[in-house]
Amino acid sequence: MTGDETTGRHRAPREDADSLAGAWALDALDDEDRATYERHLAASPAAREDADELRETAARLGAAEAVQPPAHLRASILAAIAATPQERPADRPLEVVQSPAAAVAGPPAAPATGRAAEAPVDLAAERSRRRARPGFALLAAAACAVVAVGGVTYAVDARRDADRLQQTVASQQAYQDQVDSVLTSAGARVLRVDATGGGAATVVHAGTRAVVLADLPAVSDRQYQLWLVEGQTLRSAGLLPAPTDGRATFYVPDTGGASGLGISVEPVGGSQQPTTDPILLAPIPA
Amino acid sequence: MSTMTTSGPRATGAAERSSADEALLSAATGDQDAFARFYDATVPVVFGTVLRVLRDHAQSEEVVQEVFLEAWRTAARFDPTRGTARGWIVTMAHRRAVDRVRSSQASSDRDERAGIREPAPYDSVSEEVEVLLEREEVQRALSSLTPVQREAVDLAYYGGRTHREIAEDLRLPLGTVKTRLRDALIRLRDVMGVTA
Repeated sequence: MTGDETTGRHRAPREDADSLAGAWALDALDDEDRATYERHLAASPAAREDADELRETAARLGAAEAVQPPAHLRASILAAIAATPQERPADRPLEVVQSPAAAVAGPPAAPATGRAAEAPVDLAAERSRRRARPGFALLAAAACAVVAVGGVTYAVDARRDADRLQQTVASQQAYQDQVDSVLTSAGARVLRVDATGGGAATVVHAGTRAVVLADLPAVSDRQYQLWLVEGQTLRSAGLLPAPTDGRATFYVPDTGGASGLGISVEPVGGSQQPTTDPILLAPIPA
Repeated sequence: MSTMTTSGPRATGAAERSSADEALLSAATGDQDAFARFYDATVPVVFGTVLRVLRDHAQSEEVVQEVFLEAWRTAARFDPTRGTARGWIVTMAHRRAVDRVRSSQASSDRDERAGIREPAPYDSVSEEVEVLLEREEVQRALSSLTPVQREAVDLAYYGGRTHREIAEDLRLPLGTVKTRLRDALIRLRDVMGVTA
């Protein structure tokens, strides 16, 4: 074979690429080398298997380093995932997505996956709401996020309006980034508050930003409205999407000097001031 | 051994491992309780690994949050025929930690702390016999490496150095570093009996 510095072994390209398996498994490749090596892996199932084993081996090194993290980390991670849609396998049809959760969840409201029946997302309605009240893009995105979180059946008229979907996905991503940045903030404080009449909300504060993860009873002809408590007055911080099964993620970019967050049930479209007693009040830690 | 060989059929390993696998597979269908079990089963190793690389508790907590969120989002990508659930998330966590180390800000922060192994304000995972045994097994496997192999693995896995940087640092030909890292991992694999 080719001229050769190692005795008795020709250095074919494959073997040369394989020599990177250790560095790859230890994350010791820069981006360019990694890309090169992973192209090799994609083309060689045998190399892939060997590399997987080495990667598994590297991952076991951490077993010697096990350290219990602080307990608050668990609470904020579990709150975060409750607000985070999961990726679906790519081969699922877009128009109606039936997640495996729905198949195993049993009757609606089975505790394992929570709420089963999700309202379909009416993108047209979301869009008109966005037009009507700037700033509601986030809410529309929230509706999408909520639907995906529930992991059941939802419908999107994606093929009829690909642009609209794309827009929604983009705003959903932007929304999710905002939510994530609160939920993963090192100083985030998590508070779970029960609501009068059932349900609860988890409120996560990071500085003057907050995320409200609502898990409230379903409403169809009413809308949940979020309020900031400022002294004796309440200032609207927005509406949760409607109709809703009560699950929603709400990002509050600035809580100002508010001492608390409240939620009330209002007529569709919201109110200037609450027309009913808040079903939930959460203090904002100073 | 001139090339790596596949050692036996893909098999699941210890019982604790398959419970994390099961939990992650259920979590992929939207089961949040299962995800909590997956978290409980894997977080000490995930946090410990990240902390060892970053050496900073606040940054490590951030990375652990990010990586568990990513795990939740992408749980459907976990393929149990290619490795364990714990290996899957530790791999993601390590990669993120290393990315942080390689970003300039992180490395300057880290350099200030270089050599300082902070006393852990949190309990090391202890008491559990299984954990102790595994820790011992990993340490025994590491001690079976030659000193130069061990050095290269430490620089790469815990130091976040690329193989090119290691070659420069140690004034070695690149090929030597590649081989050293690969032989070291093959040795660890064989001593620990890892089959993926």
